[in-house]
Amino acid sequence: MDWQALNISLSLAALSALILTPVGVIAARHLAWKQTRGRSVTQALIALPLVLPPTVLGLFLLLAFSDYLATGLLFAKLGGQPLVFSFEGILAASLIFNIPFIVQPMQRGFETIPRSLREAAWCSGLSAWQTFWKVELPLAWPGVAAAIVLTMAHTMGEFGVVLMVGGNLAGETRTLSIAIYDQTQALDIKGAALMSALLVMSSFAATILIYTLTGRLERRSAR
Amino acid sequence: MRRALRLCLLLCCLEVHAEATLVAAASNLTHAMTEINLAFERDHGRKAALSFGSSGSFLWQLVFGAPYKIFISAGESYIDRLQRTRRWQAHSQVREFAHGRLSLHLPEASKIGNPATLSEALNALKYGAFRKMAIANPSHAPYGKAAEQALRNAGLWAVKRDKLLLGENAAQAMQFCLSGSVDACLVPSSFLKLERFAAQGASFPIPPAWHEPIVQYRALLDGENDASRLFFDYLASPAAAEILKKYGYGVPR
Repeated sequence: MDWQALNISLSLAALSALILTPVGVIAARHLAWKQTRGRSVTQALIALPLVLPPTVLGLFLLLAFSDYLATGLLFAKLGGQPLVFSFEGILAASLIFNIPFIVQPMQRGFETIPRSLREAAWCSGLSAWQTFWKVELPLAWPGVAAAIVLTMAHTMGEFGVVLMVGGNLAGETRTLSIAIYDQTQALDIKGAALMSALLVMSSFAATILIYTLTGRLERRSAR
Repeated sequence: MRRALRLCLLLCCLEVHAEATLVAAASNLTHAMTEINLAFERDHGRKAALSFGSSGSFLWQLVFGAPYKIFISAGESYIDRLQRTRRWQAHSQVREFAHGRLSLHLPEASKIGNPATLSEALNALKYGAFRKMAIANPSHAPYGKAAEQALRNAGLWAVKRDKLLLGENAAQAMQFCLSGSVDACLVPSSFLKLERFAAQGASFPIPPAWHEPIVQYRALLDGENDASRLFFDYLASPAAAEILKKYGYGVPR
């Protein structure tokens, strides 16, 4: 069992969810309620990481983070070291490939809240901030929670993008799924099977959680 | 907002990593290199950080600035390509590291029977019926190229070519063999030196003269770094040579 790789996967999943949650909430509320121009384009952009093969996304991120392009030089200057082949790099990549996973379930969550309910809250003298905490979030939380779980679970399982942007450095960018691949290459079938079993069980648990939460959301909108 | 996020990103993740020499090595060397690293730690009190993978993908990573200090290739062509990248500098250097050897392996459930020698086994493959034989892909894997040459030499290539199952690399060819879905495989001898595989089925070393040498090179990218040089030189030490021989590699003189 590669505990170091498990630790990196868990840190990556937790940090990605932590950073993306507020971003997701802002974007999801906006998309759920505001009929702005270019909404389809925004939604398409958000869904794009779902459609692209990991190799394509990985290649673009690799180019953007390396010193071939000005963006990479800028990141290197800001962070003191280049983003490629570092934990910060796979975290930045994780933030990008998780955008659809954080925004879409949250958007479904906020969409179930009727506009009349929010208007009622405003009429009762609640500020926008109070409305968010006391009305919107309690109603949308199954969607929000499902998005967080989905993001974390997806981060645990991501392979292609992490390998391309992060390489395979022990204690830095070697996540659990890369360690599993490593062990199959080293013909350590037992070790790979053990870690895979762990990943299967945790993914299964996460998926059950997602369905329980979204089921709750559906029952509410049916009522 | 975005600035705050970026700050958070940097604060959360700035960690100081112990400066271990980063080594990228071809997958077939996993066990030998891990043991050499342990011997290095015993002799010098520190370890290198090893990464294993395909030489092609390491080369690709190096071009994009991966911080590996030492690269150990699966074959010669990778070194030519490395020398054309900007990572190759005046102080970089390259030496032969190990000569790969091939073995014919018949898994326990093989339909070939119980041949006593290599020639008996090859005859059985040539004239008998069997399901598939696994080798690494000759078009890009160095061990696959050598396997093709060995099969041509044995007179098997022309008659049993349709029986070949090509693995992406030598490790995958070995996996096909372990899964019991093929009746024979031509794989690096180093795999068969592992205790857990030695007991499963029969293995016959292929004479090195049957194929062009599979030369695995060690390249020192940053020749000005003392810690890297120490490990690079250790790879040519008698202790490292002993370990390589134990895993079935030939050692350059």
